[in-house]
Amino acid sequence: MKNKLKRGQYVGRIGGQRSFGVGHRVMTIEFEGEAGSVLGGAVPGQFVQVACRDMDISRVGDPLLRRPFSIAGVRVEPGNFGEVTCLDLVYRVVGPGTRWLERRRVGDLVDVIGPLGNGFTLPEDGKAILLGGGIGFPPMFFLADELSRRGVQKVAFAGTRTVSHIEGSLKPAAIDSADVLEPTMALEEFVRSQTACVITTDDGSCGYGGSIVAALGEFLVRNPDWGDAVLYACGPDGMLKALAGFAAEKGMACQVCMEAYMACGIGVCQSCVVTVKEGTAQKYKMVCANGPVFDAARVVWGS
Amino acid sequence: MVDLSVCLGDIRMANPVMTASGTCGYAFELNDFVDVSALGGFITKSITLEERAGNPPQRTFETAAGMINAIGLANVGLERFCSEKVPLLDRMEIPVIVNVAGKGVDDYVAVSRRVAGLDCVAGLELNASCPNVKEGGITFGTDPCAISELVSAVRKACPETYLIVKLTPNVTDIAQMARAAVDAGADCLSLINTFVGLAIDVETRRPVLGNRTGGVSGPAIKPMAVYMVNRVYEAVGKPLGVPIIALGGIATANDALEFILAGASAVCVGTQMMIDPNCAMVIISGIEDYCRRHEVASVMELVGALE
Repeated sequence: MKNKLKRGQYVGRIGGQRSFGVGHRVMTIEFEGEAGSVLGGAVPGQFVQVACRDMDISRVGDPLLRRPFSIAGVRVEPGNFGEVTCLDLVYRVVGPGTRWLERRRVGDLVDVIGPLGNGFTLPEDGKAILLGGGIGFPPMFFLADELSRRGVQKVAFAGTRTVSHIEGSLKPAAIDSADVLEPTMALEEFVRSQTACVITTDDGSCGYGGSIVAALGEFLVRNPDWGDAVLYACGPDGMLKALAGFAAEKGMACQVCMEAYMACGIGVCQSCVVTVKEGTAQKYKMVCANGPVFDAARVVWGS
Repeated sequence: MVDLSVCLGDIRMANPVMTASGTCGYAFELNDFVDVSALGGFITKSITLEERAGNPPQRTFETAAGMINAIGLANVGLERFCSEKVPLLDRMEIPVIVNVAGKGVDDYVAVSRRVAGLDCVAGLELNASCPNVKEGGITFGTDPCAISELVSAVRKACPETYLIVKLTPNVTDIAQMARAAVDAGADCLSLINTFVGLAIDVETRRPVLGNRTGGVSGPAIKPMAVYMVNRVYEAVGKPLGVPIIALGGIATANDALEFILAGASAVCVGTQMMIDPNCAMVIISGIEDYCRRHEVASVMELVGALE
């Protein structure tokens, strides 16, 4: 997929934000006019680069570099002066940039570059299994929306270290479920796309106790009709590496949405490289411009 | 009506704002965000004889008011540059400067000779200052004899070409390097490249960057860069009539004006272009506003006007 999609540098307005879990927040940024139509064209897997400081007051300041955020959802809503595109970003307060974001109020301005990167390759039919680990969950909400529009059958796995780290709004269904491997409407963000979800935690504090890949394995043993599904994943490298190994073993197609330390996010600085197989050769590819979505079978995983 | 145009030798630019090598790609990569044709000039990323994959990641890290990088001159190499990028540069309406890097003098000469002959190229910038490669780069820029040998060789191979030499700040006296480059045939000097730095992850006790060390850029280095530009202007640029292209942490029109007053005829925006691509337009219009406010008819009047 060549990156010929439109993108740009735009100023949006905070439409609202709320918190969930421990320190997790979802923020909606609204865009109108050209910005709205360009960002409204975003596809699941793409991201935006957000200047986490007051760019309208000064072009310089801390943090200096933009911060990349996966797009967790896009909605076009009627506004007072034409259509408004609402972009959802999910984040956790971890440093000065996200702290700045947390303090934005409705109507505050945010400078955003996007949409960036190449999204997931989406099927027209068939089955899809969505796997989000740790902070990799937000793009799965957006992906589920799009798959739902296409009528693709889907199920999701949300894996995390412990219950308070789940990047979604946990519903009572998740806690009440007697069978931890039975997908339920466990996350509020998945209700709109009617995506049932299995929760996994490393410490067993909620849902399946163990790794997300182990849960997937058991699920597939129990539900062999999902064996021909395409795997879509985002999460820490360790999880993606384990999943890539699992997919290769089972002969399942697997697309992974990767992260790397970025400076520009727009393909010029060449900072965010990962090693990818190209024929018999291994090449550095930029996560921002060549990814962030890669075929898991082609990624050369680190140790 | 303010005249923003500046001249570097015979290269005439509509305004003094250019892109810094390595921060804006090969040609039109930033065109989705900024009209590149509205800049004064364009400097490509470094081109080497052979394609380079670059350094192992992690390649960048944010530091206070700046960043440290060790990309390692990742580029497509001379052949692919000529076949894939030059056709794009042919369409660029502003002066194009190609940045040239190499392991040894022969590499620089081979790339320079080939690139200098291209219609779309207005001049060459010799990267004698990259801190992130094992051979070449900074090893030329920290020894006056080595810089002299390099510039002389390229000058001999390309006698008609406008030759810019990019200097490193990682020396005791940058004016000495500037003088050596000019004596060997440089037409213009660009400064500064990044400061060598080291960022350490205290948890793992390992360097953050895959290359261990990197080059520090951004607003943090600006005061040192302004000083060095002024030092080179006073010692070499002004007495010998050699123009200076200044860079190092420029983010605003005020930053650009500091460098111009310190002695620069043109400026490059680097790190800030990656954060705020639109800054180039803001800087150009800010310089124009300043000139109007101070009743300056031509921006050239401001070059070296520091009192």
